[in-house]
Amino acid sequence: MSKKTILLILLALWGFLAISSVGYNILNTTYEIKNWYFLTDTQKRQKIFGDLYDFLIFAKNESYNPPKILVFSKDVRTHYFGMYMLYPTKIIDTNDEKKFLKMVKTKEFIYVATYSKTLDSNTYRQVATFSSKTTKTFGILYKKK
Amino acid sequence: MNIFIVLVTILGITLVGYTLIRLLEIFGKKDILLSISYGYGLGMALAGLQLYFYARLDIPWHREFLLIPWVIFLVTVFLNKKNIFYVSSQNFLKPSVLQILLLVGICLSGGYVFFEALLRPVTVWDGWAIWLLKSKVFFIDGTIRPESLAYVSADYPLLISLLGTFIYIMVGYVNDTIVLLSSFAFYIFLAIAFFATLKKKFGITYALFFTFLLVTTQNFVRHGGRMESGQADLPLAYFIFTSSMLLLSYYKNTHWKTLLLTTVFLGITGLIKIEGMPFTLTIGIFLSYMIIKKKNYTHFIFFLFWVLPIIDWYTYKSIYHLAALTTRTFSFSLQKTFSVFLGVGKELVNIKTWSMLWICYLYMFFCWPKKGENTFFIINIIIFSQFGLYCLIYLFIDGYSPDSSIERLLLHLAPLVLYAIAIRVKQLV
Repeated sequence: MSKKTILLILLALWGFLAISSVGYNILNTTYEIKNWYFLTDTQKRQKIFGDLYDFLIFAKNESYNPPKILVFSKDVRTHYFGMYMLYPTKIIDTNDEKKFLKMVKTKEFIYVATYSKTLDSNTYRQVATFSSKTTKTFGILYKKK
Repeated sequence: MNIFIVLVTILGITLVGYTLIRLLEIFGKKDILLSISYGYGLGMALAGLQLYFYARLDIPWHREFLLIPWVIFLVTVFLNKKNIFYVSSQNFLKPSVLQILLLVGICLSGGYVFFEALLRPVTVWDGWAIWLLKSKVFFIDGTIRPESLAYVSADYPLLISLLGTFIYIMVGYVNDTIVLLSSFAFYIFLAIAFFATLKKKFGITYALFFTFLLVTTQNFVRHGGRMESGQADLPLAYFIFTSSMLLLSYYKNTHWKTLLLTTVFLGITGLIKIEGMPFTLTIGIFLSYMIIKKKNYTHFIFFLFWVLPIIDWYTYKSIYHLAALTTRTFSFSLQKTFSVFLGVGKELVNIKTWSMLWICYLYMFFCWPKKGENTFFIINIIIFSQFGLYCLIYLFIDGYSPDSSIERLLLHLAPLVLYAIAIRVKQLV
């Protein structure tokens, strides 16, 4: 088989894959409509980000846009997703308990939010709680006394 | 309604870019599609730069303040040069059955990408952690604040994020779903630019066939609409392709107008994503060689359009200490080399993502290694310089591996690679 014949076979195969791709996309559209189209915007975000989305919305709504908020969370997405969700409130987050308690003691923050963790402090009082409807995840918002 | 506003915004900025390109008469009068497709790239950059300079000059980002200059510009041009907006009916010829089938395939893919772009908000990490975070921050701040940039750790240039902000201003609020239509627009205008370039050289059917291959490649579909990746890679692919085509035009006509648009596009490419910088250097070297060879030394003045916006951005970053000076360590090991080659090799033969794109390109490159016509040679140099750079980064700099980024880096080059395949196939078959 000559090199040019092989090239033509590759191109024909490519053309076939391209047509299949169009077919796949058409079929996938029905799947996407079934799974996504009828969801509300909030439901879509819950589906993508899980409980973390609800937790951040909870922290945003209950804290009334303070300049900054301290967040404890072990979810690796918290830092950037929290920045995105909470802006203009600036988020200072950690997943290290010692660091977290150290920052709490500075009393720099009016609000502290914890994701699936409780805070025992004389400086802060609990002002609101959130619990997931589907998992055991919970969140607590504390305010400086 | 909001979708309509975003579509009108995209068409509006395309119209501004188109008008400028037609005013300069860079492409022929019949090359309407080229002017339109390049118009979007130019228009989006102008919209971003407008916000950037307004912020620097403390001009508020009110919708009226942003639109009035462009409306005055368009009305003035319309009153004085109506022929710019005239589209000849001769451009619409009676298509053959094959052409209609290919067009239907292209439209179905485009429709699917449009549908996907509007289906979900942005889902991936770099989408909301880099590009849309800044769009939102700028919109809420109503300007560009260095302290906000420091907060969001902005090391990437701002153009893509500012395009998002521009759309938010037009819509009136942050909507991180419909803003993804700007990615869909890059998908469509890249396809139009690709088609128009090939059509000019090889005819409609041939151009439609390769455009069909382009728009059905799953990685373009992903970046155009499904958004399983950030917002800057497809724009970078668009600018790498269009800038390379402009370089080839300049190689043939050595006209200052072509060089002007080339250098403007290089400036934009450097401000899309850091990965665009080495590409602009490669093109800059080619341009310098062509200028020196033709002794058109005055043409070097146009390099300012490439260099100044980039220098301005890096100066701004340096003044406000925004550069992320993360310390990178260098190392080399055989094990790492093996895993890099394995990772890159696996992606090149990943049919699910790339179809036969890279397999065909590499097959043709190694089976017919002689350089062929100069155009093919120049394109290969561009592809291999960029590709080689990515491989060197993987090989020598710690913390980079092909697993997380190779499909995005290959996307930057993919339209150019497909163009190289198209011109080589025509020569061979």
